[in-house]
Amino acid sequence: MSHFGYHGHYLRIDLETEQVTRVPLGAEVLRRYLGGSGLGTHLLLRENAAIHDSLAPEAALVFAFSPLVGSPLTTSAKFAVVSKSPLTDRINDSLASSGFAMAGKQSGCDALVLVGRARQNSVLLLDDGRFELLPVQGLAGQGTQQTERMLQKQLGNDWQIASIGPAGENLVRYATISHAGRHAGRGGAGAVMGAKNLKAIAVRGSQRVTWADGDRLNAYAKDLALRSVGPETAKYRELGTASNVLAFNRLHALPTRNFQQGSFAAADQLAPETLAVNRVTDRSYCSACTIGCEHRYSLEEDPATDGESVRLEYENVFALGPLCGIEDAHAVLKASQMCDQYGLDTVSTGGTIAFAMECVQRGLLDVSWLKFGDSEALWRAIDLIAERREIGDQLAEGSRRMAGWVGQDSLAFAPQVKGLEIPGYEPRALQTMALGFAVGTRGADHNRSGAYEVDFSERVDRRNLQNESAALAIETEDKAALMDSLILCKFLRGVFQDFYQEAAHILQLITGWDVTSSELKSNAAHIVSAKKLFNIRAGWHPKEDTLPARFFDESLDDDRQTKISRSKLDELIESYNQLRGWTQDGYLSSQQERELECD
Amino acid sequence: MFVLVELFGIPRQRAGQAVVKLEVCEKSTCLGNIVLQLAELFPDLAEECFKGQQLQTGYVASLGGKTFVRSPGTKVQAGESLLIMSADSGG
Repeated sequence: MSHFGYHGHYLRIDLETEQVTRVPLGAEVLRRYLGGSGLGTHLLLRENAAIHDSLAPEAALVFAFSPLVGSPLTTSAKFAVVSKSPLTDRINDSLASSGFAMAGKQSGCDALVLVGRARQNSVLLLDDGRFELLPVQGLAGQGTQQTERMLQKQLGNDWQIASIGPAGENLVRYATISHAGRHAGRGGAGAVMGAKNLKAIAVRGSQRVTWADGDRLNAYAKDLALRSVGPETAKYRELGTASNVLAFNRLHALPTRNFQQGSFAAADQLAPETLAVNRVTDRSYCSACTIGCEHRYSLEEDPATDGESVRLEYENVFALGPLCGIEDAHAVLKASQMCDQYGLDTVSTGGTIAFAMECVQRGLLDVSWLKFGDSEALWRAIDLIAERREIGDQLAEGSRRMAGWVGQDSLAFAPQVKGLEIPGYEPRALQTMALGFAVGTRGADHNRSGAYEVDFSERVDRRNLQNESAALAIETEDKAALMDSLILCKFLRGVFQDFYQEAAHILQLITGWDVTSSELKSNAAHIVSAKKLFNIRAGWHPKEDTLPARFFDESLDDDRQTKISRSKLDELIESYNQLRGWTQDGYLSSQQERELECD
Repeated sequence: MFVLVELFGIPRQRAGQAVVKLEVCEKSTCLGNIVLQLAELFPDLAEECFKGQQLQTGYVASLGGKTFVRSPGTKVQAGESLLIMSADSGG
């Protein structure tokens, strides 16, 4: 069956038997789940992946492309990695960008579903749909970028490679899958890949899909590209995401010393405005992107030294800087570079180390060198995590499991929801976001819930939960679910006047479907419910939808008025569930469950 | 009497400074007037971030870092801080 924008099938690869099955994808499924996170979630449900341990051979690891990949639309070269998370034991969908998405789709499928475990540490080759497993030969223990370089040298530059670093090989529960310096970062997809004995996946292909209305798609893409370099994206183009540092600091929303404070005295030293004065900077783009949000800074201040540069995002700065009490920009840049090379999620790395630092501060953990503000300690901890040595073996488990090991009520200040470390948005200062964190199917997450957008608006009082917050949190979560399934970069979101309307127009041009904005709204909500179904099957319980006790019991040291009302949050979670059409405590209605099972 | 305007991100880049002390004639003024005063002082800031008396869609103001506001008629008391920043805080 031919579909515009799609190949109409996925490849299911059993790594143990080396058997490849081409499985058709019906138009109804594609229209409902689209691609990326949505399609990946659907395929995980088909595989019944919720019931298996995330690191077991039976676990499924999905690489899902999307109808927009390969199109002339800006920011469309993206792929989703979807699996059960070894960190949360719940659903995990992480996105990354660039050539791997395009080459993966051109290899002739809409998704790859990997099951089983390769008999030896291997590289998976997918050459225009033909599958082969190669022994790793010299790649074991190599960093992510070195792995890509070595494989490209061996295979040729027309191959695109996604790889894991030592952290993934050592099953660190927040290891990433990396491609071209970008990471499918959160939730530990790299450990799932490591557990399958896969060091890397290399793809190339020549199988292009066609578009329903190529001429109009080109015209629309030109217009979108022009809009994408307007004032709405100036922040990303000129300063990058790290420009949040100073604004968040001023609002007491910059998590500091494991969420003990919301502002950091040395924030200025870590802001891009300061870094750009003393360091050589450059900027790069993902494939098929006109925005170019990636800002790199030289590791050293002296331009005469070796020109090594490090990509810096807000999340790296916050997690490896203020969260660990680190003031020195060089220390943060170096720590960030280490995480990139080891293949470690910076948010969970910083979050878990900061948690351990507070345990040491409170006398709950006897690792005297692990102190807030100590750069050497930060670097040492990162090395130990990636190698799973000494205290690193506990840190590699993430803050929730580590709190179970430390005991003594330390779970109250482990900075996580459902096991996923909280990103750089202080929940007490951004309380709609706090609700988004609590209910998120992936755990505490700023990519699946954009509720901070609401907090940064006149629609709510950001330091108090309000009745409107539930509906507003749903609005941003649904929008993210659609963007992650189409897939389009979220940095474009300010460019759209009516996102659902334009998304429907894009899909009409690509697929020829008579899809409408209201259908897409319904699809977005359906995708969120599908993720919830996965979690329910994986053992989700309503008690998981909450925040660590710290946020209810302690106000911020530097903003005494801010605390989250536990009863108000509980009330809003009930409202959220009801507005989603779920039961009051968050289970799907029987009709929703039936619908999802029929897909 | 003064209103202290604190600029973040692109507004700071365009104005070339982090803080602007604006003189006001009365005990209070409004956001729209402040925007106009800033526009006179910093044409590059106005071009990127303002549209007449209003903030462009991508930008937002906050009174004392507490309440976010956009309406040009919003009262700003002398002595108060007004923050202007990008509305899009993702990253």
